[in-house]
Amino acid sequence: MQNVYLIRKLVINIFNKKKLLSYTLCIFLTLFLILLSILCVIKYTILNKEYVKQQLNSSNYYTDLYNIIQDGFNNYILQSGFDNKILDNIITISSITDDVNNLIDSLFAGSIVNISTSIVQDTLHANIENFISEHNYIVDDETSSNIKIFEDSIIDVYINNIVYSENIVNTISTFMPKVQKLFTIAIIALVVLSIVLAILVFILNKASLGISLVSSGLLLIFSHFYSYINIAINNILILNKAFSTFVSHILNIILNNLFIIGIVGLIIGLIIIILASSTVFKNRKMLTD
Amino acid sequence: MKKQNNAKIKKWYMIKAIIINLIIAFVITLIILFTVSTIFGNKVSLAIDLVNMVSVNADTKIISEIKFDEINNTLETYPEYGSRYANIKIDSLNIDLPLYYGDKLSILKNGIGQSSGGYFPGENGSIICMGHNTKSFLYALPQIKKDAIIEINASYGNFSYKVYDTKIVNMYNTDKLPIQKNEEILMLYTCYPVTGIGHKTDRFVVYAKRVFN
Repeated sequence: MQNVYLIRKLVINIFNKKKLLSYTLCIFLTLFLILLSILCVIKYTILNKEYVKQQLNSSNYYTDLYNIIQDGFNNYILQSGFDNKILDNIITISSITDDVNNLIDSLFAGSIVNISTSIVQDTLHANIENFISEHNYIVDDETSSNIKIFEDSIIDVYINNIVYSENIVNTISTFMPKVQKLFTIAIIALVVLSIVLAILVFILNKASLGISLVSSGLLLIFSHFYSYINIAINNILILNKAFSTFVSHILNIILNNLFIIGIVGLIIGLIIIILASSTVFKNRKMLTD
Repeated sequence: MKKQNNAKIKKWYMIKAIIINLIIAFVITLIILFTVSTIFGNKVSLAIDLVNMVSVNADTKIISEIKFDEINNTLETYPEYGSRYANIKIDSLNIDLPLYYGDKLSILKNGIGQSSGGYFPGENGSIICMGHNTKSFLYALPQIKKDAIIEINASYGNFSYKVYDTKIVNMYNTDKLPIQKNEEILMLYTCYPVTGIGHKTDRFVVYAKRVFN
């Protein structure tokens, strides 16, 4: 009996014109809040140059990349007749950090990516010269050309591991400033729209603002769990171990941030609903008085 | 008594309003979820599939036992890329090295690599194997003589091949390593010359046909 009464009340509540309008606006407000949360998280993580550099550092990207490049060099050493000494000091973690940071700066500035390999090339060449003089090798034209191919291969390993694909990186860099601008405009527009809608919803029905926040919170929490259940985020493998770790790391941060926003939205929404519901009795009392 | 009743009614109204509002919040959540899944459902599952395609499941079990179908001369289960599945032995050159499935440079650091473009021992086709020319790998390969025996001892069987030819070919001349499935031919190569410095663009290739003991 009690349940039937509750359902009847619920239906009457929903079909109240004023409330119906507020619930319709609620759906839009929920969508705007979710979109705003996602755009804000992306803007302050992936689209934030300093944050990206900070996360590259905390995910050990530079050290991992150093090991991968060294490994790549070693692969060529095995068939070249040289020993590992020729790779001494041609790269360091700090030189890789500088080159990766320059790449990120160019990427965010929208300029053409240009990695200088002159230091790597000169050090490698000097090491090879030392090796040749130490071992008294006679360098004829063919050997000289083979050494040139070897040096180019080593430089290619370095460039390919820093930049991955020059074409793709340059394409991204031409779009990056536009994307950043677009995100800022979209966020401002969504903030304005959300505030207008929130005021409207609040005027029509105070509790509806809480309903929107609870709904958006629930949806963000749902998307967090849905992503973790359906996607093996921690096993993502793109390009190499260093980049894969970074991608997993940044995806985890994005999903966790959305989860936190969801929880906060849910709690604030619940508080608004409780506060709005406590005034229901007052209003009814006033009406009956 | 009236005060108590008022407090009870107030509490009841408040709880009722909270429950109704929460139910509405759930209904709105479900409406949005339903709308999103109806409009973007396929695209979302496609995106998830794409992400999962680049996700290597850590739970993937490595096939330790390779099964060979002797009737059709083909493997029923294949070794995982990069895994060691056999040993390659040339007694006349004192070579005994691990054979890995895959030809990435990182694999060749550990032993002999087998190109994924060819066939496996026993499959009656071209088997293409390669190794570095350093002393710990195939430095001695250019000294191989005609009729020398190369053995591949895999987890699913032992295979012997008799050398019938050797060639020095340019690394870009892939015609000299033909893939076919009429005859079991092992092509084992290393960078050439094995001495000297710099990047070697020639390859010393050994051709061997399967022999049955």
